[in-house]
Amino acid sequence: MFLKTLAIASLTVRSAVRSRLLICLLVILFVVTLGIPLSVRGDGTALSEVKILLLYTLGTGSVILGLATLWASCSAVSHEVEHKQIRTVVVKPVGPYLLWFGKWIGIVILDAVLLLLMGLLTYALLFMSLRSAGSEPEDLGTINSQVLTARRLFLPKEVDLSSEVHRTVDELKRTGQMPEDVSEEETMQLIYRRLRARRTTVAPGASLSWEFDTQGLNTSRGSLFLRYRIGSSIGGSRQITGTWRVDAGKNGDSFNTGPIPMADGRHLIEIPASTISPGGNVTVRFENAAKGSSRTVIFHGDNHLELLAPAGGFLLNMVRSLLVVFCYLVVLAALGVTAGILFSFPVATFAAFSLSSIVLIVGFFAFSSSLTVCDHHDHDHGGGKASVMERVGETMLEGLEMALSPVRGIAPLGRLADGVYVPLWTVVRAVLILGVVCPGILGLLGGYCMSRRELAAN
Amino acid sequence: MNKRANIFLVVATVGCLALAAFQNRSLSETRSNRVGDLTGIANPAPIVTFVTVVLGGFRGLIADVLWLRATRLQDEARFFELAQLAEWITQLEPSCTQIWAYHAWNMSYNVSVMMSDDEDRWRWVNNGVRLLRDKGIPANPEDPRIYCELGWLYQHKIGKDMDPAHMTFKMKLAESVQALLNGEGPDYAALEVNSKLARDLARDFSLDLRVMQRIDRTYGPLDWRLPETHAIYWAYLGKRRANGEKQLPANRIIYQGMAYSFFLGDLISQEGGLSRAPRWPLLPKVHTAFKDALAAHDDDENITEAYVGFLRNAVLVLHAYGKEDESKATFDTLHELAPSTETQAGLELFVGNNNIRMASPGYVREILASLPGKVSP
Repeated sequence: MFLKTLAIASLTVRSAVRSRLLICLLVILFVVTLGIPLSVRGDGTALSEVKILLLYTLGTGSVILGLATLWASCSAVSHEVEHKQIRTVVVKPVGPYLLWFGKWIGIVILDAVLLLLMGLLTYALLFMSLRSAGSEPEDLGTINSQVLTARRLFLPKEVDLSSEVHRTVDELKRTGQMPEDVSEEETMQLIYRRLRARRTTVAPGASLSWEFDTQGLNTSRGSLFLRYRIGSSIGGSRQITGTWRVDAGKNGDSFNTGPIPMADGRHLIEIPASTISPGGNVTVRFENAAKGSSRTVIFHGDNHLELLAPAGGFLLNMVRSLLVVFCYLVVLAALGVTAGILFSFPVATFAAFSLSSIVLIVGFFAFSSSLTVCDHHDHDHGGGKASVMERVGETMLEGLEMALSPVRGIAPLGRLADGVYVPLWTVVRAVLILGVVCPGILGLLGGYCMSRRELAAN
Repeated sequence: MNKRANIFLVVATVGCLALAAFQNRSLSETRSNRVGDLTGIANPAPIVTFVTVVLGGFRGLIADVLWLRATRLQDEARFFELAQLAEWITQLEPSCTQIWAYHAWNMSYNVSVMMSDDEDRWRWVNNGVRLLRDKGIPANPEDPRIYCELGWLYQHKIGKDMDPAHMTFKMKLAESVQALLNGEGPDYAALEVNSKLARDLARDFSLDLRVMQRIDRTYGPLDWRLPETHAIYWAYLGKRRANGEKQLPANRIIYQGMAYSFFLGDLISQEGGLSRAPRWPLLPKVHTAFKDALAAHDDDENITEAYVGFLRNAVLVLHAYGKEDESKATFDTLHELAPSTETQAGLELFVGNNNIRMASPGYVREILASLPGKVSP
């Protein structure tokens, strides 16, 4: 069985390599990999140049490889059926499932080789550009600590607000202040949002604390970083002054920045490793300066506060990221081979590209539709209600989003360019979902369809 | 496929291409008549030709994707890609001035204020300036609006004191020009158009030595280390490409820049940096700038108001510096332009009634207050 699979795989690789379009795409891949570092520019800092080089080179390269994979895999079976070469294979003792597997493995081997080459080329280019750019030692230090590293990301513990929400609703009911035109569920959601907003706003003279569970943190690799995103009550103002305090209780030293001026935006503070002790809780506190020297501070977004701790080297992080990208290519190869069995080559490529595009954009449309649903609420119960078609569309989008969420939620290249650790669990999840489960389902479908198809007809 | 079929296909392809080429001229004319020239210029830059011809309808789609990414990144306060995305988006819609203006303004105003460090702020302000100056104008050399947008960035973002880091912006600009000119302006008599300095000015600031000379002759001598001078330069170029009322934004930048240059157009090196003082020789040129604008726009009410404001402040400043004759002449112009009971009372009473606290804007108060024996505003 192994030899049979190998034979089919090598034939698939040979046939793919002979395809002119595939060769064109691969030439584009190498031109892009070499050309992007020369043509793109960051915001003027060495740090942004490195981030862009990583993100754009690997990102564009992955997209081109994805296109090449779909093209090659769609043609793997459909061209053989079209040119009747498949007859010579099906008359031999090769089952439909083995044929599907052999074709798929052939494309996967090709992808593995090309991705490896792309990764090596990018890695070499990255370090060559760092050496030739003659960056300042300070810039190199920043690049090393913020991009060429793998920092584990810790988020603050979620504060359970449900009891407070229920207490507030009970209070409203008791005092007869429950709004009549809004359901209880909606009232609870509104109260929850208001309480959450309080957890992200700090008035002058006030303070706010967050707790981090630092289980699994390794402090031996150097300083930690606290990354936060703030805005002031008056946009664009630079009149925010605050003090950050980091306290690990009995287990470590305490650290404070002293009053520092800040502007709206994202900031990074270095925290000495001695402050944090692994395995315990760390309290981070922001103290806003008094009125007159500061304004109300708003912590923006879901991830407004992150604790970043060095957890490994850049190379291993890059390998993990490329493994996840490889898993995406694996699933595309499976999709293409199955589509090639089901349809003729043009229809197969169209179907495979369409399906991949839907997977890519469904998140955006589901998000937009969720916003539309929110907008539909209106207190007067007049106009603005969603039509039946809209509701059906929204339900379909939400269902699709839910079904695809395990596949869509793994995006390693952004993390790699941001110097954030790609956890092993993410790789395992990608291998399981994208490398085993999805191809498995597609393989079963492809094999079944092939067994039902009269390949020797006409 | 047999040989005959191949030959037929080649001949058919060549025939189709010839037919397409034959129709191209009439199609281009029809398109120009209906939607205007896509590029708006006679000899578009290669990148403009590439995106408008090669990408065709797909460029809109690509631009949408890039817009979405740029918006999302900005919402997440991740700015490192924004300069590149802005460049790509603008190049995908190269003839749309509003898009160039938006991205330049976004980087110079919205993104820059997200930076705590003054140097970072300057980098983003400069990113906006460079986008318009180095990419936008070459792509739309005949559109006066894009020149005015650039002039506005120099005049307002760098020249005014709205941003807490405005002194850094001014110092950075002054230092970079000083490094080339080694003074406030070029010595035109000693320079050739193809000199190294001319090439450096074109490379670093997109300044044309001949245009600089014309501007200095008309409005100067100006100090090229100042943002107002750059604002006047770009507005001057914009004005030359506009007619009638379309000259108004350019004229505004010119007379406002001239007024500002009169009050604060002399850069004086002193311990601890540079300070600014009035540039007296510019007074007649400021009058000319205002009068030209009034003549071009039928004595527009807003321009008259701005001129009156300038004259009032100029009278006070000239008088405070002991330039009695110029102060009197300026006062007479003010009385002639906007006679009032205040001006009828005469210069001495006018000056006596308009103390420092009443002078506006703030920089005029500062000039007056900086004189010995004056009350701090």
